[in-house]
Amino acid sequence: MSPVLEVRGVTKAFADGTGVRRVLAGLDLDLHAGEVVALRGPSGSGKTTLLNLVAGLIPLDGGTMRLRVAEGVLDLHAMDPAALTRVRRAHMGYVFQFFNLVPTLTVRENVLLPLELNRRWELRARALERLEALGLGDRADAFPDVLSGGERQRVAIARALAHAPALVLADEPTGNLDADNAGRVAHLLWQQVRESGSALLVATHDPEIAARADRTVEIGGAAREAP
Amino acid sequence: MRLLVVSQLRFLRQAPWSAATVVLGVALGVASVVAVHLISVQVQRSLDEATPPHLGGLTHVIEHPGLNAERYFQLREQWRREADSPVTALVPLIEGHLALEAQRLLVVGADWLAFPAQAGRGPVVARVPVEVLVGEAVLVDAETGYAEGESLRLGGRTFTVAGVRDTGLGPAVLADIAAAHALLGRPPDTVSRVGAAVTDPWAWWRHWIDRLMPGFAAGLPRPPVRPLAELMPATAALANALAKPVTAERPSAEFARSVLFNLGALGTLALLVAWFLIHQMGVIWLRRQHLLLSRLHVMGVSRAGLRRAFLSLFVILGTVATAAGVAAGVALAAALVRLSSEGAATPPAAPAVVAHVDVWVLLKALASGLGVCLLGGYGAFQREWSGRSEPSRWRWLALPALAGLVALGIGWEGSGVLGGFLAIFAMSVGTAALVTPALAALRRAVPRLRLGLLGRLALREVVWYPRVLSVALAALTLAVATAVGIGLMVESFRLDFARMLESRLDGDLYVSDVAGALPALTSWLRAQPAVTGIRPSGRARVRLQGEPVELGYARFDAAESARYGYTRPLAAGEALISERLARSLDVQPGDTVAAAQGSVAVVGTFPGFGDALGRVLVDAGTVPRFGLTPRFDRLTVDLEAGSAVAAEMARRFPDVQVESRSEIRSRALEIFDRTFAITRALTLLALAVAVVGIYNAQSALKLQQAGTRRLLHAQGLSAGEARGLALLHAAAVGGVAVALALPLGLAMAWTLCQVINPRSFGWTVGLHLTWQAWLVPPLSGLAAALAAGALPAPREREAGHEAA
Repeated sequence: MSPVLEVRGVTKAFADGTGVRRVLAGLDLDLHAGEVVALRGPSGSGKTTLLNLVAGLIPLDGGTMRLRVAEGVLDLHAMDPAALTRVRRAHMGYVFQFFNLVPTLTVRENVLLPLELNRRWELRARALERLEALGLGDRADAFPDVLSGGERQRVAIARALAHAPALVLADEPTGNLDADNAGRVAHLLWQQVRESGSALLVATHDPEIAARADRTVEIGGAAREAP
Repeated sequence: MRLLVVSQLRFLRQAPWSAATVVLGVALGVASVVAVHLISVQVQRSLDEATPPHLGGLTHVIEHPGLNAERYFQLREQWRREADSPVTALVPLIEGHLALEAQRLLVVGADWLAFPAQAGRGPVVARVPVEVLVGEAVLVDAETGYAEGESLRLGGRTFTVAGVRDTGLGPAVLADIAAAHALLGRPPDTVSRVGAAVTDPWAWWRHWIDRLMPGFAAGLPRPPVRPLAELMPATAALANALAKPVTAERPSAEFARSVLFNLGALGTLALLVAWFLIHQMGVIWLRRQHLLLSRLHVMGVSRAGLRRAFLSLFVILGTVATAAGVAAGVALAAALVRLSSEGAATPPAAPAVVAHVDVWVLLKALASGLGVCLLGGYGAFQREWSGRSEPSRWRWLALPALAGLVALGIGWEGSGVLGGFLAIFAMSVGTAALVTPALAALRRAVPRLRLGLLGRLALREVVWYPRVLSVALAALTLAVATAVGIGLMVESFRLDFARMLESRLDGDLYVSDVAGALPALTSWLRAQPAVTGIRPSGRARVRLQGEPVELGYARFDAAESARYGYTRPLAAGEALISERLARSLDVQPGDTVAAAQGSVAVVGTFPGFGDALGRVLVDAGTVPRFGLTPRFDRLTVDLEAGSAVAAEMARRFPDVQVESRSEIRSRALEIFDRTFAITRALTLLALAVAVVGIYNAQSALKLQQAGTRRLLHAQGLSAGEARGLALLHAAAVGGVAVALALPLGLAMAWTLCQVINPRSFGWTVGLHLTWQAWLVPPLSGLAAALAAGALPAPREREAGHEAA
């Protein structure tokens, strides 16, 4: 079976004032539909950088990235920022560690945000069912500032999956939660992703969370080069 | 403390854009104040120079029907006996008219020797030594056409013109009282009124207030007419005599000072808006430094120490802004003087404006610039660091107090122009105070609105963060409301003024200065087949109930009366008076007023827009009641269409001044528009400061919302949609400001038309809701908010975070 995401020889470096920090050097990665892959590594190893590269939020220095969707295979490495934005909007979901929700939108509106952006109203009922399934049905009209950390992450999960994306990216989705909540949120995330048939690439520090994944990819430390 | 200040200065270096906008906003506010001050000083000085010589140094004029030389001397004797009398001079005056060739001259006689001597120089009147004036020498008004040193033949005597002054009295001769008696053919014991100089315990304050705020006194309630007994308690000689403030003798000067007061009030608007801007910026900076200041507080720095360090920022910015504001203000004053005098007969006096820059201007500018910065910064610090989580429980008293101030300022006529402006100020503060509750109400209502995603996000961001936006919104609201209010007032006034011109200018040609040529001209006009009507008229400066007024007379048939909105011909003894005069004399139709030789019945009033002097109109047959013989010096000529009479008349009678109806109309409207050029410029300036404020607030909100923007970007919000969101957000800001500004602007316009105008100038302006005034300022406000939203926010976030 062809992978949903195919990453080959990806490199990325940042100038940090004192030199160039090579974060990713020739990384390869395949991710299949319904698969959950955990990215592990120390702080600064490039986990978030890889997620941002896949999402097209930062430009790639080298290598290729391909995303297989219903319409065909998309060469992410060859796309301009506008095209990447369209791909991200239509085919990806993103869960962050902090600041996951738009504070001026209600829980329901946050969940329906990808549907509004993609004009895919046919998925509305399913998205709201997922909200119920995540135990947030009675919080649908609340604004994020009154939610607990765990509730916010559950809303973020519902939003990330609302438009049935091919790929879900999650950056330390439980990093901000206590152990009980972290386990519960991780369970829900895994469960919802599997039910939806999406692929999940999750960056995490937490070995317990990583242990729940189908596969773990270790990312090494960054190398510093002279400017 | 030094390190704290250094840390603040470094913060300033990290926030160069916002610091620059603060300097710009305050500099514009200071420039507005400086420009109005300089213009006012120039006008005030010219008014002072134009003080009629016989009133120089006097504070009151004493009037009594039985006044004569004997009573004057009794009064003087009594004054001399009172050791502690507040009166420092008493000057007998007489007044009358005299024919000189084609002119009717006002002759004023004064006992020049009775004027107080100037230190070491002896008495001097209008820069002419009194010993010259008591001889065969006179002072004349410039309108007489005589030059200094020329000889003037009057009543069989020859006088030398010792000085020519612009007195505002029209064609007038000012002579020694003995000469005036002879010229007017009055018995030597005649005294028309007595001028008095009375010590004013508030003189010192008045003097300094006038130096700081030229024209301010015109905004205060008019000083009352007092019984003479209050000044000289043991007055037996003139029981029941009245002492009128000398300002009543110079209504045109009072008129000009009222204009200055109005300008002064408007000039402070930009500064008030700048205060909002400073306050807003202070809140934003404090939020950026919150972590740093909190840590310092934990380390033991007192709140007062933090406040001093924070305010040091504003001292620096205020000083820089003041320097820039003074320079800009001088340039603005010169430009405004040029603007308002464009096309005028007199050349612009812009260089003279620069000459008025003195220590007072600099002090005022510094107080304005530094004051607004420190007050704004202090207010922001108190708001963010007062340690009080609950708003003051007394805040609910503020709105009723403001409402009371509005009611008092509008309802109590005695509060004068100042009361009217205080009412406007209270309305503005009240509306500004309503911004936060309005945002809170909107916050509750917004979730129910069915809007698209971007619309919802934009509107909610406006109502969600009142602390960031409310002050800037209040400033924009105030500026837009003022633009609406002033715009509506000016447009309404222009409409009423144009209507008045339409009604008054019913002739085809208006001929003046014809006294010498009148018989010949009239005969010639009568012989012209194209002339369908000739209406002679005349004017004279007379007194009505003791007040100087302009008397206009003609054959007042029904058609002539209709020009002034009265339906019947004026019978003998009937008069129409201007609205200004009616207010000044406190009379209304049906009342009778005293003239020089009898009385006249007031049968109606008419608007006299632009008249600096009260006007009274009578049929020519009523003129003798004013002690005059009718002398016609103007003609209104009706012509058949397409007639060439005007050109032929100008050729045959070159000394006659002829103007067509359209010429007069367009000249009048041009003068009207020039008059309000400064007003419009000052309103625009305030709007510019508000735009700077809204840009700052929107930039701060953009920085605060950067996380949301990144999140939306990650969700797939395109660059175009992000720009659309920014514009929708700006439109929502503008929309909220405009929604609040419209009712305030309407209330301001009503107050300006119905309260300020009558109290300042004596006329009421009908409020007309023209679409230009109603729509253009709100659209400008909306466009300004959109422009502020479309501009990129300065990249100061990292700097702010580093500081924290």
